[in-house]
Amino acid sequence: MIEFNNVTKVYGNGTEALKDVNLKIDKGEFVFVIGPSGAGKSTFIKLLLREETPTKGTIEVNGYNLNKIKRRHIPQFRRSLGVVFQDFRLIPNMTVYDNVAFALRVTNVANRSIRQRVPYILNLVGLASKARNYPSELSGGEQQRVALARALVNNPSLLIADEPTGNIDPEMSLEIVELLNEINKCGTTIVMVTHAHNLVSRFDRRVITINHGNIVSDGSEWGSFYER
Amino acid sequence: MRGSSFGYLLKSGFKNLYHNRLMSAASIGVLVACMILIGGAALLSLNVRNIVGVAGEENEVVVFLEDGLSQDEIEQIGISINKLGNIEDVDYVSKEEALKTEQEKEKWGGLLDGLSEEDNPLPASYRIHLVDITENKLIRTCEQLAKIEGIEDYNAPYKEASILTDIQNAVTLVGFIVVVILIVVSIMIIANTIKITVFSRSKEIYIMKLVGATDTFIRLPFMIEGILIGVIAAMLAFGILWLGYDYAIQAVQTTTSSWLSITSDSLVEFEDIAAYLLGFFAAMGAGIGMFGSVIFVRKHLKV
Repeated sequence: MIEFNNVTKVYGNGTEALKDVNLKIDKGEFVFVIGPSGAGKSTFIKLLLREETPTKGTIEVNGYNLNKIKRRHIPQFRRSLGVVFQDFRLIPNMTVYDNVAFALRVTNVANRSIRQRVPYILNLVGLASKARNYPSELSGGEQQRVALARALVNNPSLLIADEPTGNIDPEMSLEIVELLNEINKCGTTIVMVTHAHNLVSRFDRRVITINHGNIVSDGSEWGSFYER
Repeated sequence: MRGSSFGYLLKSGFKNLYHNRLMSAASIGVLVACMILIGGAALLSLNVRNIVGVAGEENEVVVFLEDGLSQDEIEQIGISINKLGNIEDVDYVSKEEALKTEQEKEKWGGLLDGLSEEDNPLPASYRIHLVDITENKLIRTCEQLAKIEGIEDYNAPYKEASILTDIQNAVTLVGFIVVVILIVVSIMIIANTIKITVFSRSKEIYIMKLVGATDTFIRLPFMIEGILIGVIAAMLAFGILWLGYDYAIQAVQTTTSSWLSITSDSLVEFEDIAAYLLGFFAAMGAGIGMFGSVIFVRKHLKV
């Protein structure tokens, strides 16, 4: 599903964000990626989304070789996965419904199936009643659930969550991760980058710890820099 | 691309225009201002050109006829002249009338006193006012006149025509340069406005890219928006210019200043150039709107 082989990423200004990283995440896994600020987590996500390309090494995601992928095939690749961000990244002048529907519209789905699929997904994240609202009229937790709905509406096999609970209060955070847990049970692979170690400790899942651009631990045990 | 997708993109172009109404209004405002300046400069130089032309209409070409022509032949010559084109009006002056006019002149008129009608040395003539006396047209008309049988000689205001032509050319050139400068400045201002508009929505474009939208899918609503802004601005500028111009013409026609009122007959009617102006505005607006958004959106598509 995801495979990093000797991946190094050096930015133009000389910052070495990732150093010789090897990583394999299988289909159906639920993985937490943790690490302090500046550890390389954001770079990790950017590489996964093909926003950036590695300086060295190869990356394969969802069967796409991200080193060799042609520019015009990138949209197709991105449709094969769902992404949720810390800052939600909803389009402010679209309603909740349109934000979710947009992910389907870009894939040329017929209007008829959009009209069926979007209400179903909104219902799943508990926001059926807010379909006509704009993002600015919703709470942080609700906005993140809209983002989640948008990520899931394409039925992706991989869901990437970049600090999805970073801007949400604790109860809502738990709810979001539980939602992710349910989604994972249906077979979707989930990679969640997070700061919230209280959440990580609640779920007994694989935890990858990144620090200074290296993977310092991988498994159900935590990295050494977090004190439990 | 599906038909329904295209419909959706068309609709979102319209929607975006409304959602970003502040930016849309700013872009439309800038475009309208530029178009009014360009249109105003064009109208002004067109009018100055015409007014200068009025001065030329006072000049006439005199055609002297051979002696001894019959009345029929003389009339035939008049008809031939009228057929030439570029002829405003033609006046026949007979030998007798010519003699009488000359005899009545105060200064040297007395010299002709003793002459009877039999030994009248003055030829009959046609006095011709031309529609257009700019140099090229005048020369062409004179060449045609010379070919008409029965015409002995002619007298044309070549010198005046050449001065007039120079002035008109100068006015046209200056007007053209001013319009070109205004167009260049306008394009720079408008490009900046579009750049800001697109930049204010770079996050939106970025999100669309991350969801897997193709470049075309993102670009099309922007293009439609750009065209709409351009067309709306064209209509507004056209309307404002029309109202303003008619008002200005009215002011000139009712003015008491004598030299201004002389020119009022030769002013350009707005209706005469309305179609060109609207066409130019619409093409300029839609073109700038479309290409501007294509160029500046491209920068944000590299995600």
